[in-house]
Amino acid sequence: MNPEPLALAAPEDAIVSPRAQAREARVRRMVEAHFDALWRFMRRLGVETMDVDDVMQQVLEIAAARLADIAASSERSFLFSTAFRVASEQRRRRQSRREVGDAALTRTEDPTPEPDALTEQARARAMLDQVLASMPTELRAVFTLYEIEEMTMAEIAELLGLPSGTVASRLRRAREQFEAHVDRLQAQMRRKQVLP
Amino acid sequence: MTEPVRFIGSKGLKAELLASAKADRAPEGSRRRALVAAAAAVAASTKAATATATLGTLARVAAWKWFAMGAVGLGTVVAAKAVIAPRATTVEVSTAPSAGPKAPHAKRRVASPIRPRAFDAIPADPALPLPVSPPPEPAANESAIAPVPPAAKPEPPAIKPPTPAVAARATAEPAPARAAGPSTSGSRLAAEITAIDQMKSALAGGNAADALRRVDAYRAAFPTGTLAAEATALRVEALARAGRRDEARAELARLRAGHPESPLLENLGQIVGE
Repeated sequence: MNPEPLALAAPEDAIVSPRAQAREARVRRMVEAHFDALWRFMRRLGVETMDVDDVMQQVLEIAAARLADIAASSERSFLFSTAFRVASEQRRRRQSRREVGDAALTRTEDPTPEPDALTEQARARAMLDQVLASMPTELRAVFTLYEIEEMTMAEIAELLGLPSGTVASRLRRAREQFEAHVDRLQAQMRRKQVLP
Repeated sequence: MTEPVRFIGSKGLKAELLASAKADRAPEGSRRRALVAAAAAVAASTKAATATATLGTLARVAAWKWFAMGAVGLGTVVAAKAVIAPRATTVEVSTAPSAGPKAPHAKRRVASPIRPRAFDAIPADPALPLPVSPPPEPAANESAIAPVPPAAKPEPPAIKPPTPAVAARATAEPAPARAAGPSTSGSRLAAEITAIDQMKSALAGGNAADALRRVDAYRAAFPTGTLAAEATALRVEALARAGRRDEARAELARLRAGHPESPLLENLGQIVGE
């Protein structure tokens, strides 16, 4: 049924190859440049480790499909705003599914035993995620980009396509909530140590 | 804007928690998987955009992808195969209407169960035959992108007349089985991307009316679609092209209100003549 043999064709044989090659090179550059920050961003937005690949892939598919419309200067912005949307949606879906009850899923997250130092860090991260989980996603996004990725408020405004006033107020509220929550945790920890 | 002093620069538990996140790294292989997925996504969207593609071309694209991925050292050959092998058969299935229906269906049956989970979201090309064949009826398009549950019969293997409608139903068949799985979002997204691509080709081909019909079909099929904002942006452009400026502006205003993501809004103001 193949009218032509499916040989391992040289690139010049494929009609779309130069274009595909350029597109692929561009997406690859985008991934290389922003992968780590995107990955952390998704994780701190509450996407679980085992889901990050899927979410990342969806983001890249959207980027690939819209490549021609993405200006070179707004690649990062496009990736982060898309990641924010896809991650928020994924989380909503997951949460509605979780109500059925699969706590086991969260328990499998870190199956390998780690050295002490790492465990310490993993514990800190778990605590951080617990604090972040109490925040609305909009606050969480602005907060993590500012505090963890150390972006400026102007960068965040551009990245998420928000007015700068919105970024400022979200950041302020997020920082207040974060501070209050961590202070509460700290007080609890102290109480436990003093009164064992 | 005055920037508050970051907690991460201070001392104590707040800084410690935030520092732990800064040190967070993607697990081994995650970046490579992303690169492979990116390559596959580009190949898929390139294909969708190549309106005049023939079966031969598609097969060669698939073969070339295989070659290219090995050549650039994106990953092991095994990894490339895992992505490309299912895709190559999907390509054959998609073009079945023009190329003889029997063998590809058998192949698809074999291929789909082994599709690796991480790549579930690769477009299953449910509507790929559309750009390949002459301009389709909107109705055929809708049935192709909607995750329609099939008639209850268990895949009669050898009686498919090569019509797009049947091809669409056959392609949509795995949907019920995946209904609860994580791949649902992936295949839905693939269908959404295809729909968006078709709107763009219609616009690029100067057929604003067709683009508008496709936006309507998309909205009917995906009321809460992931790419709803993209569809709205394309609708703004299509309305403007159709000379319906006021409607275009109104639609743009809605887009700005609901989705202030700058990348989509970039050129639209100019397009509607603001």
